[in-house]
Amino acid sequence: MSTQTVLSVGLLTLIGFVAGTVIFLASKFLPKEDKSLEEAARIREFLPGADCGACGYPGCFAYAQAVAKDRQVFVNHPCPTLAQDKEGMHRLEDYLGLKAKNKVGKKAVVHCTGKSEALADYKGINTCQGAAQVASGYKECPYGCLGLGDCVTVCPTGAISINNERKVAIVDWETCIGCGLCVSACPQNLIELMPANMPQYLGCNYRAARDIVGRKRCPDGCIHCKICVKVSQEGEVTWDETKDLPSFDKEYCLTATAAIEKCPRHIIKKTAAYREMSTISD
Amino acid sequence: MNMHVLEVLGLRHRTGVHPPARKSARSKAIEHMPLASKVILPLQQHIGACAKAAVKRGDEVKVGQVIAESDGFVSAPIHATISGTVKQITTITSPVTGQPVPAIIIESDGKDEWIELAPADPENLSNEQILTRIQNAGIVGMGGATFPTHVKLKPPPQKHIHTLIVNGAECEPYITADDRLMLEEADRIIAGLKIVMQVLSVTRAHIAIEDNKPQAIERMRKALAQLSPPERITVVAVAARYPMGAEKTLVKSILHAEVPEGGLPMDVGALVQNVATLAAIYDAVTLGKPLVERVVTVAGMVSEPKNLIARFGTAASSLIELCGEPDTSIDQMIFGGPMMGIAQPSYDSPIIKGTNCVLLNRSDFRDEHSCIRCGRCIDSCPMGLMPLMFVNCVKKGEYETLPNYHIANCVECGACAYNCPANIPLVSYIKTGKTELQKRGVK
Repeated sequence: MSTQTVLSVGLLTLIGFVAGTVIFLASKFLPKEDKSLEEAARIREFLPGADCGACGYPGCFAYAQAVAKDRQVFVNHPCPTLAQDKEGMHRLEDYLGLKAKNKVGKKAVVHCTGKSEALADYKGINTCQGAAQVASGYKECPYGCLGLGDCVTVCPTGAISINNERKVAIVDWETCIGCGLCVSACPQNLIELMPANMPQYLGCNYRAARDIVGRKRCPDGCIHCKICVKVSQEGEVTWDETKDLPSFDKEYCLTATAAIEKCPRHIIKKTAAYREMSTISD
Repeated sequence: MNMHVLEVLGLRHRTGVHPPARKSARSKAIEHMPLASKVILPLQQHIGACAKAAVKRGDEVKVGQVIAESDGFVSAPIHATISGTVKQITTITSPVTGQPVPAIIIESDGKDEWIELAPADPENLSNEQILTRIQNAGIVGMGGATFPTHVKLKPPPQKHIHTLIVNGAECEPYITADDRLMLEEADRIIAGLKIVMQVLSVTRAHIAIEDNKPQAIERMRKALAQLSPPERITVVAVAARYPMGAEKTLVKSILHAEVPEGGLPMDVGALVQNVATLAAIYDAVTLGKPLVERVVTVAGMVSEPKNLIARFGTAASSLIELCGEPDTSIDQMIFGGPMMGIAQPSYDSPIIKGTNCVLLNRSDFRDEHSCIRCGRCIDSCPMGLMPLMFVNCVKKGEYETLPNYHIANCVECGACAYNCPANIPLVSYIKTGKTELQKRGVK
């Protein structure tokens, strides 16, 4: 054996010994893992795991960490996705020993029925965003749904589908978790989050303020006759002057049955919540 | 050293592309088309603020009468292009942006009565007076960008302009409007050029013409030779390579100067004006005639391509009718050339100030494939950008990354998309990216 071999083997052994000692000391004396991380991991188990970001935190684990640090986060801003699932909510409430406020989730609605006829064949990038660059899309109505599915792509639960005949996005309220990713994906700004117990919404985004006559462009377009406001009781329907469209009360979610019936265009659409409510009252 | 020599030696990178010229209307003299019975005049035919209607329904108007006043500094008035009655003030789909714009519809009385024109000698006018005349005539850049000319001719005092470049490159395939104008109206163009030189007090001007228009080059040289006293104006034959007619490309190939990112040619002391704009400036300043008509090439799949003088607001369909039998397989009408033009939703779209060509063709849309990173878009980009990165970023939604690749420098010429073997519509992605950046307020 040459001295070189002895030297290298010896050196390596020495390094290994020193490094081992350092690791041993570190594990002995350095503070243990953050306790709240374990707690967060446990809370995370109760969460839906969609990482949708609807709560405002970047993913479920981040939300769980925030709750682990401060329980009031859960009380004031319960996970909107979990709010859809009553049993799951109960389990988390039981675990934390707290009751959450504002448990009503949110659901997305598309303010368009897609009845506007196509003006031209659109050939190009197969996204709504691309189509919106060309003549505000390819339909007669420049504000309508383009039906190329930018919202479908971003939806984490597959709740949105496209009706190919009318080229319009349709949200399934059963599976929608109200995360709002589709709201920001829509280049036409047609999607809005509504409280889950909202009984109706307007199926049109046709703003008269933007200076186009609605009735010419779409058989379902709002004609801004304001009859919905006139026939309904106070507070049910209000007129949004900036959009020049009716808006429904989002705080109390009153049912505007008279307005739904009287709308000459039948574009005040009933939601799943309307049906639920009417079965209760029956 | 001559640029061609440098290119052959491989010392200078050749950018741009070389689409087939297809200038089928080249030998057709400019014709006046019969007056339309109805014109639709969008109130925004220029970049900047939309003009404000100054007439009411039922008003009688004469040709050249202001029907919409400019609203703001970067704006231009709109004039009646036929005499008759204002039939309706409505909203139409803009032939340029596709967004709804207000428009005035005038029905002709068939008389073609003009307002009284006030001719003047430009040499007796002050710069202010000339600019006012240009502004009142509603003149905008007629190469297609439609930037109000009076604004362009009033550069901020800290920018010194030493050279005027006249853009007669006309690099897009099919279009021959400027080519014919140079052949037939060379004197008007040079008279307009002299007015602009007087306003900017520049002594040096280059007339840039692509070397595939030898007749136009010859004609302009002849017209210059007749000038007395001779001016420091030269005709430069630039290489026929798309997009030679883009302002920044022209400045680069003539003055060998790069316009800084987000800047204008005036940052390197140059100002570019299209030949048709110069002719219009002459009309406005010397004859007092507002801008109501322009030369439009009708080309593509028609049996008789033509160069027509059309009043603004004339429906494209009535121009097409004059050009023989259209091919039955036409399914697309484009305003402008095939590279940068805008497909129209209807054959009745009105001709506006920036419409230099009505092109009829069959759309050969091919399915888009994945990028293979071959770099042909980089080779062809006249601005030296990496277009594939824009597509990457837009596809992933990483809009904030776009400025790192200098998206503001893109002139949207479409050379990259033309050269792409995977048929990626790069310009659409770039436009999407730019719009998204604007929405987010990133510069």
